[in-house]
Order: sequence, then C-alpha cells, then structure tokens
Amino acid sequence: MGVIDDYLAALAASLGGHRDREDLLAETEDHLRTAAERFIADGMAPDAAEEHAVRRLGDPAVLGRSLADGGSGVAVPTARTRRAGAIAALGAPLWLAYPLFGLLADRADQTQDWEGTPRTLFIIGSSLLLVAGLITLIGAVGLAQRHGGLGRLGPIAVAPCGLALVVMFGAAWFETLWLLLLAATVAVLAPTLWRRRLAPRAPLAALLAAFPIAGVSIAALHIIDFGPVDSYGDRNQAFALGSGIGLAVLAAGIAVIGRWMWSEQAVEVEDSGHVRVA
Amino acid sequence: MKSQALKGHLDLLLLAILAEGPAHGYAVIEALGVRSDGEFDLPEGTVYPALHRLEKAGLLGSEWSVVGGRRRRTYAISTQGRAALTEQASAWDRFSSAVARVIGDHSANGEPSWA
Repeated sequence: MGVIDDYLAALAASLGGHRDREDLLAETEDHLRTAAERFIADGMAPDAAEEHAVRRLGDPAVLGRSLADGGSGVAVPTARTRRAGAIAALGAPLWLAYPLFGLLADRADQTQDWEGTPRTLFIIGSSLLLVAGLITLIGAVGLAQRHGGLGRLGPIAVAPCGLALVVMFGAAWFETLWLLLLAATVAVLAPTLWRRRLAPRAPLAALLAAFPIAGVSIAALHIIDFGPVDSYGDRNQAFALGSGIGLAVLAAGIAVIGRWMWSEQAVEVEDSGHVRVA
Repeated sequence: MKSQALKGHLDLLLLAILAEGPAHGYAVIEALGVRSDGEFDLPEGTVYPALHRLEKAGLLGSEWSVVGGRRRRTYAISTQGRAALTEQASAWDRFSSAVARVIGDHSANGEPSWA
C-alpha cells in the first residue's frame, strides 16, 4: 500500500460508519492524487510527492473528526477497541447460560431438594451471568472509545451496564432490575449509533428489539400458564424461557457488533497526536 | 498568514474563490494560494469541512463527475451564496478601512504619522 492508501485507510477508520463515508473518502482521494500529480509535474519523485500531499492535508484522525463532526475524542479503531469487540463477540453466547441453567435448576427443583443439584445449577448459571455482564461492559466501553468516547453520551450509556453488573453480583435472581439497566444502556447507545450510522444497523436493531421481545415472551408464557408455580407464586420457567428468548436476540446483536469491531483495521494514535495504520 | 487568523475569514475567501466559477476542493485551495501570492497557507484539511458547512447552509452546491477514473466533487456558489458574499465583502471593506485608518502610517514606516 502507498502512503495515500494508508492515509485513506486511516481516514476510513476514523469515519467509522458515517453516512457520507464513501463520498468523503472519494473526495479526499481525489484531492490527494491531484496534489501528488501536481507535485510530480513540478519535479518531485512520486513517493515524495505522495508524502508531501498527505502531510499538507493533515492528520487523518483530525480530518475525519472534522468531517464527521463526531465525539470529543479521537474516533478510530485501536488494538484495544478491536480486542474489546473480540471479547464481546466470543462471550456473547454466555448470555444464554443464565436462563438455560435457570430452567434446568427449576426443573430439577421439582423432584429434588433445592440444596443439591438445583442450587449447583443456579450457581453455575449465576457465575456465567457475571462473566456475560463483564464482557458486555468491556464491549460497550470499547464501542464508545471506538467513536471517540461519544462525548457525554458514552458514560451515560455505559454507567447502567456497569450498575447491572453490580446488581448481578449482589442478586442474580433480580432479573427485572438488571435487565432494565441493560435495556437503559442499549436505549441510550443504539439509537445514537443508528442515527449517526456509526455501527452496522442490523445488529443495532437486534439490540433494540431484544428487551421488548423478552417482555412480550415472558408475558405470553405467563398467559399460557407455562411451567409450574413455585411456593412464592412465581412462574420461574416462564421467566427464564421468556428472558432467554430476548437474551438470545441480545447475544446475536452483541456478537455481530463485536465481530465488526474486531474486523476493523487498527489505527495507532501516538502521543504526538500522529495517527498511523497498524 | 497565521492559519488561526485566516479561519475567521475562511467562508468569505471560499465564497469569493467560487464566485469566479465552479471548482473542486484542490483547485479552491490552489486558487487561495495563488490569489494571495502564497500568503494564505492554511492546513488543507480545514478547507473541506468549511466547504461542506457552506453547502449545508445552502451557500454552495456540489456535483459529482468522473475525471481520470476518479470521482470528483465540484463546488459552485448558489444565489444565496452570492448574496452572502456581497454582504460579507461589504462588512470586510468597512472593517479593513477602519483598521487602516487606525493604524495609519505604522503599517508602512513603523512610525505613526503624527510622530
């Protein structure tokens, strides 16, 4: 790849999924190649001409931010945001562990003493839930960083996700609360990313749909009297299966977004502010 | 000229360049340098966001074409842009005349005319 190709790759990374990305890249490429042609016509060597053209246009991350009018930080994928995406993608299926083990625990509880196998199954599900919460928090932070922190919105979006993790740790069975907190993170983050076209839209739609789907599924399963009623009057299996359906959609959305973050080319931001494609 | 000093007048300069005829971004930057005898040497990356902003405000329009196998965006001033240029140029004239009157002979000799 030549110097101009490197520059365009770094600019593309900085623009993310901006709606005018292709036009902005085409205009920048035309500028750089026209400039290089002029410098060559003036007697400069081709490589030096490309370098001079790139230097005159300035840092691609700064240009990308000016063109995209994005967040306050440098909006580029880095090795860290790529790793966050990979962790989120690989860990996404763990969201299914809690409802799955919850179902198994409740079924076992029908025939066995709670202190035996049912409790063990529940503890395994709860432990995996904590891991799922942690990897999602890492993914959410990485996604916000990928887009320059998203200004004030970044912390506002990530905070409920962090709080959900605390609730899971203290009371994994309090599904309604941590599900609502997770929904808050999605409700803040996904529409912004959707509107600014900063991430693939299909998985964002999955994230937004996950919690309504969970709510409708839980309600429908209660209406058809799915599963037994426990001594507290709760239909645990209806809740586990209903939330499981919604969490499966959530996991699919997280996995696709994580994979997209991982697939991006990393750009290194040096202390001087200079940016280069890794 | 320092690019910071130029930034405040960039819209006026871009409109003035494009009032001469449609041009793509690089040609606009080149014209800025040529017409100022090399005085206006601002970071080129600042010009495109300004062009996009002016287009969004309806002061410029743009069209795409293919030149030498590359997509090229050419900007042209709109009627609204011409009106804005007239207004801004007039304001600049008043401002620069006032500054010249205050500075007096300092700019040429380094001494005020009354010294």
